[in-house]
Amino acid sequence: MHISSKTRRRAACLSVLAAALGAGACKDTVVPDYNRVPIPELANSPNRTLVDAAAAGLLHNARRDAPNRVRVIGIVGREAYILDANEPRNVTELVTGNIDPSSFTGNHDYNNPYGTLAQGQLLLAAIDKVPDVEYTTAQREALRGFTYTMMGNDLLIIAYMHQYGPTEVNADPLAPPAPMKTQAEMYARAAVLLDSGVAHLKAGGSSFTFTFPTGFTNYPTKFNTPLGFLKFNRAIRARLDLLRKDYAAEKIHLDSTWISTAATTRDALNTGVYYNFSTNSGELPNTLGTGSTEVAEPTLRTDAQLKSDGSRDNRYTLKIDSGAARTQLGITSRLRFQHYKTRPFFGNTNQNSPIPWVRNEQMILDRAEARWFTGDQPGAMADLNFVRTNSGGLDPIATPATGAAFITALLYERRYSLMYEGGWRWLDLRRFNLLGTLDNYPRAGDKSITYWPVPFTECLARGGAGSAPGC
Amino acid sequence: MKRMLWVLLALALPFGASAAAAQQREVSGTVTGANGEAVAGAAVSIAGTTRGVRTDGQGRFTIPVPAGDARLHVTALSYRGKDVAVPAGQNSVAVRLDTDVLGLETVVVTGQATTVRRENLAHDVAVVSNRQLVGNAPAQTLDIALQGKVAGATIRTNSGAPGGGTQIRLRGPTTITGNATPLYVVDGVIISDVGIAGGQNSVSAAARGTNASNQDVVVNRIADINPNDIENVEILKGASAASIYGSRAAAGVVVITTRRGRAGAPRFAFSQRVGYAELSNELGSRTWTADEAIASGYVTAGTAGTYFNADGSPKATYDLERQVFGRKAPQRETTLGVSGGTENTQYYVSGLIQDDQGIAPNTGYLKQSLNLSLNQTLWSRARLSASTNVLHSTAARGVTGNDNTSASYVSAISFTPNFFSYQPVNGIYPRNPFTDSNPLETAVRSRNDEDVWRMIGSLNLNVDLLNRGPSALRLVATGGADYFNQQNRLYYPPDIQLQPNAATPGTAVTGGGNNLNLNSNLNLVHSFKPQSGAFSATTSGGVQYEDRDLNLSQVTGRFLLGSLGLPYQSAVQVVAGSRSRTRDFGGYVQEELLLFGDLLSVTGSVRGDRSSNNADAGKFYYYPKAAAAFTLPNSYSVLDQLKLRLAYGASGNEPTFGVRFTPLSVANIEGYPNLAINGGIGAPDLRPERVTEIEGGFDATLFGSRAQLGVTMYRRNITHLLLGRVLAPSTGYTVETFNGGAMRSTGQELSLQASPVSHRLFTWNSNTTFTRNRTKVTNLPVPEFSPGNSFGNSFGGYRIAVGYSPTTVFAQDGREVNIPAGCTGTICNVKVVPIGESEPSFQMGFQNDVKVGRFTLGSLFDWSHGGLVINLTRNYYDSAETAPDFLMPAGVTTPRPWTGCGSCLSGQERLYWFSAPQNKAVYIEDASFVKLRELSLSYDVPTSVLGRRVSSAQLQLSARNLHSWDNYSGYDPEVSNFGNVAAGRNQDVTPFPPSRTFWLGLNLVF
Repeated sequence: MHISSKTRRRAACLSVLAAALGAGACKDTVVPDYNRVPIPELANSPNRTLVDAAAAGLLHNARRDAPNRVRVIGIVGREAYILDANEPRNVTELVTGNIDPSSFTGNHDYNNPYGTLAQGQLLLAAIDKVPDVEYTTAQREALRGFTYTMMGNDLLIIAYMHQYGPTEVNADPLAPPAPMKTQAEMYARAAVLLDSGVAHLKAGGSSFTFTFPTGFTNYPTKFNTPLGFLKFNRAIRARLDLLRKDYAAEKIHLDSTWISTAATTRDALNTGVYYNFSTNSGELPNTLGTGSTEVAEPTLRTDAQLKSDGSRDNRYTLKIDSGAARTQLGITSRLRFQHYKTRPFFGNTNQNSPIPWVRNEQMILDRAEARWFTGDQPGAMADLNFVRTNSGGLDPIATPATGAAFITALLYERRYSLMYEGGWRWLDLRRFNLLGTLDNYPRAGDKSITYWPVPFTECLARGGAGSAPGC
Repeated sequence: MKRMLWVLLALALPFGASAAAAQQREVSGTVTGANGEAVAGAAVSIAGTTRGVRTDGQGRFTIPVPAGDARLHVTALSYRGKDVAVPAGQNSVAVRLDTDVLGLETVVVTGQATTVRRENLAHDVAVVSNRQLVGNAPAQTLDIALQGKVAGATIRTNSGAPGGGTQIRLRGPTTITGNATPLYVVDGVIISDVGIAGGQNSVSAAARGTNASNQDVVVNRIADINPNDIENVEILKGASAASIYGSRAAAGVVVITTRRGRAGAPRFAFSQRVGYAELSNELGSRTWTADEAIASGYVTAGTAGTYFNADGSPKATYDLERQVFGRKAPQRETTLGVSGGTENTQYYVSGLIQDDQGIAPNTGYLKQSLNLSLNQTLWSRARLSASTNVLHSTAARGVTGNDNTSASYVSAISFTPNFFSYQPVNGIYPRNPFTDSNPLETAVRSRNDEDVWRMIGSLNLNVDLLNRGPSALRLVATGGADYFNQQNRLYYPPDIQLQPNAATPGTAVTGGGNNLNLNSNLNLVHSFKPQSGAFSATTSGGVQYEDRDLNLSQVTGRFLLGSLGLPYQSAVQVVAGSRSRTRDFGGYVQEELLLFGDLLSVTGSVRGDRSSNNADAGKFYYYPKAAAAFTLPNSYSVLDQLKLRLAYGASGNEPTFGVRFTPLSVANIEGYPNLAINGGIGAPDLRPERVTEIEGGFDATLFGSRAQLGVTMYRRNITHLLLGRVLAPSTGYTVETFNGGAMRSTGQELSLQASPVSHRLFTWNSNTTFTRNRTKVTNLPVPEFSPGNSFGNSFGGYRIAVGYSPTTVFAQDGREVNIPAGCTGTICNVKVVPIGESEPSFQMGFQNDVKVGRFTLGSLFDWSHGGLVINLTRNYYDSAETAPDFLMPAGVTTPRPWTGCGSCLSGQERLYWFSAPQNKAVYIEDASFVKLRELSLSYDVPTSVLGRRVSSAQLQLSARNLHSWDNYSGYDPEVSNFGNVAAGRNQDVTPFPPSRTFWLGLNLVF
């Protein structure tokens, strides 16, 4: 078959044309993530905006779990119950103590706090990488101090809830997870992280490069500067000491905080740091105390001591209202919490209300305990009675004769002062080996728990039952 | 269809000036059809050559032929081709063509730019003509029109809500977490089938914590296409057929060709239909006595007097389902189309106005569409086709499906005993004391509208570049755009009983999105057909580029102040939005050979493409294909022709947008931005899933071309599934998306098209299909997992596990006798077992047209055998004690044994077996059904009655969804609460009930 040269030339032109069109269509087909920021950008080419936002993200991470944590620890500590016909596991698992590590009752407060550790590591590396012109040395130090503090705070939460957990996070999340450690090791590592932040915060200059929410700035004592934030760091450290019963260290660390018995107002007692919530776009709401299914433990009413005028403890009246009875599965209560819904610590109500992180009132009670168990009984009673009279409106009490009697008096004050704000009832009973008093309460067969289980997904990823301590 | 024929003819018969031979004569003639009608546009060529002409509008032609005896080869669309002898000395000839009833000479798409006659096709492609689609009864959407007509396709509606929402599954599930819907191509343009959630979740709270969810009764956008404008639909079911579309085609490809103009005087087609829809199935409700109502807690002894007489009988009972869904909803549809043109220019214009009311107040489906298409021959060497389709639809669907707030109509009905009425008294709707809403009030006073404007435009250029003897080179270029804008407007006034949150009464949502699909492809086709006729070879190659961009936004306003129902007049506003975009680029080469006088056809091709959704956007993935078909040269008794075919092919399923990223999520605290680890990780080598398929079968033409039987068997291997590996939460992350695992599907398909009787006064045409598919997960590198979209093992859920199909239902079945070691929870010793397969074990479709004189009776029966439905609606009725069969029968005092049959027991017994410690899965039912989907009776009005202008008129009575024979206790065994999902269908949670529709229509052609 003969193809004329004219046809040959024409065919050649056309193939070049086609190839050119084809090559022209060989466009770049990379599409970025329009909706989020890729982690490699933070890791490889961070700038000031990204680092500031990622640092603020640690605050967001910290508050994500707070409402649920207060709620579930509140239930196992018998401060509250969720009586919801659509979700009976709030009773059948949380109240009975048969927590299922794979359901919502057992699978929490693990991923977000470890997320803070992972993100903290990314941040520490990114702070070093940001070009010199974007941050001064002091600003970098402030960010480092902030990051270490947040990492320590979140590891502390994992430590006081669980018996086992790794103390660090691998840089490569796809590598096998870091080995499981015990609670003592987690406490120790959290202490190291918190202490690492101290020197950095002291060298941090006068301000941070990102804005703190009102949870840090609401009261006259501000925590949104490096030195102010250092006080917050020491308060968390003191909390760690309390939970480990390291009372000598606790007293030392409390001295570096804003603890004060100078003023007696409610605001003075509330002075401290809070988690912020909001129903605005892109924000997180506070779901505590707002649903109709959440009720308070009935004995909070009957156990409340009376003031000299015969009315109940101010802390009860402030935080609880009586309403219609709600019953489910043999549990009934008429009481509802109000210190988020209608009478918040400060600011807006309902789902916009804050949850306390560290408060003056709490630190005073912590110090009372530390003073007593290091031999300073008068000091202990001064603190205890300060809270009792100024927060509760009750008459002061005489020094108890025995340690056990002190514990009883202290636990009463802590129960009402720290009601449903941080899981303190459970932590306090556990610290004094009194969880057994919750056996068969409120119904026969109910128990509390000593440790939260390691989440099912953690064990699954490590290789199933028996693959690691706690699984 | 017409365009494809043009393409074929352009390939085989270039219409340029042919070289004049020395001795020529002119032969002229006319081409007519079976009934004497003129056939315009028929191709007349000298047999054995590629030179020829076309007939004009009156069917006339003139062709120069060499002196001496000549043979002419005549072919035309919808007719069987014929060779005609023209002896020397005879210069005029009349050609009469037979109608191609079985569509044997249909041309079918085999690539982006090539087609082949169905006779020579090497793999199985289902073709549905316009007559089969909408000839019997109108359908609101294309996918509903396809039900029961395609072997290998499982097409199921998700609910009875007007306006669509249907899933098409071809040859079983092809993915677990990836995209599960086929690719839709209209006139060469890839169009969008996304479904955008409307925001109903803001009021139903079905998915707590998010404003939009896949439980929002989502409509996938293929519903917008007007089925009347479609000339035919070709369905490429398997990887071997679809391989040319590469990583978009694992779930199959639906190729739609819209109607085109034809040469001739303007021809008008007008149709007007009116009808109504009514509720087609009711669940019923229990009748009460005063004592029973007190025992169940609906009334107390003190309040019983409001609803009951002194003797305990109810004062009145109400059919609550009919109060909400009892309308006889009027429907009407008007279409007008005109087509015409000359030899070089053809046009087609059509319009549709459709107004279907729904059976519940404030529900319905309105559609308007305008379609313009133009074909123009340029300089006798090129052909330009352009088309534009503008569509507007409004779907008002009410609030149905799952909810946690008693907003969904059937959910509220299930919790209301039937001695209470929803009807308004003096214009005021009574507050429902038994649950949180009055669904009739919700339906009348709230609004849930989805308004879509859409434009699909395409341009196709076909140029004969070279035409020299046996060799021809063509350029085919196509470009198109598909743009739609969807607006969802929801409004729940603050003063209706239904309030999502008493603290913030009144909810309004404005949301939706807009989507732009752009694609273009450029192809070169070279055909070589030597004069000896020993073989013909078509080589083609091309490149294709696609860009699809979807922007979503939603504003939810709560605590409404104004009365306009907009979210901007509210105290609490939440704004959300996102954007996703994909850019794909690919190319292919293909070779098609026809050998031994068209008896053997061999095809091979390779497609390579890359996508921005893969981790490496620059890497090409290749999909080869090879197919062969051999037609036996002789016929044997009743067997006129037997074609054996074997095909192998691969196609892929690219990851969805976003899964390849490892992101930080953006949030804010008091307006200041922050970033936090999102938890998802995309594997660094994320790539498309891959389907490889071997398909074989035969097509037999029998009984003197009266019957065509096609049998196909296939086996497909799906590898590199997109799976999520759960990471240890202590890493700070939650899940990694990666490729792994494998599934295998095997299946058989059968299609029998027959004209058993074909006589002037009595004709019977039938089309029967059979479909059977089995899928199994063969390899899973992660532990068994639940693919989401379920309500737990107590009702029944899905689980991805090796050895089971991904659509197997797993559910509780009592307790383990021995508690497993380490098990301390209350649920850990409940036994979870596979209950059965939720997909049907086989399906058959029976479409029959019987014509007696002027009357035609058409019907479509759809038989689905096997399958399971998880019926949560029944649990609602049982828990509320309003199920009509709630009470144990007289004489039964203890629950009867559980035998696997929920309908055999009363509601009380079902609840007993459902609860601990019995823990039986009582709410799983058989999904088998036989449905009479379409039924029509048409009368062809005699032409003597019609005026001179009208060439044909037809009166038609038709019905859709007339009856369903099934053992299912709920509304419709065809249901999916979660919409279109890969795994997770067949869950019935208070859906919109089904309806049957009747029409009376008039079709005119003039």
